[in-house]
Amino acid sequence: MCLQNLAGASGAFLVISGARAGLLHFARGQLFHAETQEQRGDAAVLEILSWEEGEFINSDQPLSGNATVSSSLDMLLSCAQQDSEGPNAFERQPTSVTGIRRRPLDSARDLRAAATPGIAAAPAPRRTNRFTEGRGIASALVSPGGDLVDGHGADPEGLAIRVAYVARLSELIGQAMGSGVARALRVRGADGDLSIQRHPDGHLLGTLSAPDANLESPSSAAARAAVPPSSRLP
Amino acid sequence: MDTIRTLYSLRDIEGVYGSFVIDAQGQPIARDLPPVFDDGTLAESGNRIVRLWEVVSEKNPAEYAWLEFDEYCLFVKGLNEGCLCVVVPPTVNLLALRLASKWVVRNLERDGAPLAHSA
Repeated sequence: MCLQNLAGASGAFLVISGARAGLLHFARGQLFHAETQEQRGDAAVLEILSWEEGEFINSDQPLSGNATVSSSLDMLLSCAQQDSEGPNAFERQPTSVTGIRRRPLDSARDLRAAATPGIAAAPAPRRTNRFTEGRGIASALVSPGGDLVDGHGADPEGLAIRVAYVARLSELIGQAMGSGVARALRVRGADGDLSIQRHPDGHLLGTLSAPDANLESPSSAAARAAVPPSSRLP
Repeated sequence: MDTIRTLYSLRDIEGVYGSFVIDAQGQPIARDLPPVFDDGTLAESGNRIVRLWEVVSEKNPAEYAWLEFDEYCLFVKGLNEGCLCVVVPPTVNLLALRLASKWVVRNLERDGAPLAHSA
C-alpha cells in the first residue's frame, strides 16, 4: 500500500482471505473506495485490515465512480492498530451476525508488509487517534503544482483552494521558524475539522469532516485521553 | 497576572517549549520562548500565522489549529485580535493543552491592551 501511494498508481486490488473477499480502489496512489460483502468505505478498509491473512491480486475491475473512503490510509492503519485495544470510531461493532473478528496486534503491520514486500517489513509507526474521529464531508487531493487531482463531497474545489494556500503558509511558517518540513495540519472547528496531510510525493490530501457527536461526550474525551503519546503523523 | 506569567503557565503542560502572542498584524507582542526564537523569526512567521488563522476560521469558527513540522509542532489559538501560539512536541497531551490554552486566552483577553508592552 505504501508502494501504491508512492508510485501514484491507479487500480483495483482484490483481497482474498479464506472465504472472504474485499476490494480496494486506488486513484493516483490514493485509496478512495473499499468494499467487502458487509461494509463499504472506511469500515470496509478496517474490516480488511482485521483479516489475519490475505492474498492481494491486481483486479481488472474498473475503478468505482464513488468515493467511499474519507480517511487517509495511514489514519486507517493507525486506527486499525489501536482498534485491537478498544472500540473503533469507524467500524461497526462486531456481532455474531457479521462474524468480524478482532485482529491480533500485528495484522495491520502484516498487511502493510504483504502489500509492499521488502519495504514495509518494519512495524508501522504508532500514531495517535486523536484526530481520527469524525465523518467525512469532503476531500480534495491537490497536486504539488496546485491542481485538484481528485475531489469528493461538497465543494471539493473550494476545499482544494484552502488546502493549497494553508499548506503553503504552513510551509513558510516552518521555514521561518526553522522547524523543518510541514508534515500535517489539523484545524478543529465548531462545525467540523479540517485535516491536511502532505504525502511523500508532494501531494496534499485535505479532508473536511464533521465531528462525531458521540465522541464529544465526556466519556469519549476520557477515552481519548487514555491514548498513549504517539509518534508523528506521516 | 502579567502576560509573561500567564504564558509561563502553559509550561505546566509536560513538553511545552514555550509560547508567544501575536497581534492582528502578526507582530509578536509577548513571548515566553527560548532565545533561539528571536523576534525577527517570530515577526516573519507571525504574519503568516495570522493569515492562516483567518483562512481556516473563515467559514467555520476554529477552536485551534495544529501544525506539525519535522522538529516540533505549533498549536495556534485565536484571540480577539491576534493569536496565541504554543511550541510543543508531537507527544504533548493535547487535551491538557487545549484546556490550559483556553485559560491563558481568557486571561490575555481580560488583561487586554497591556499586552502590547510585554514583549
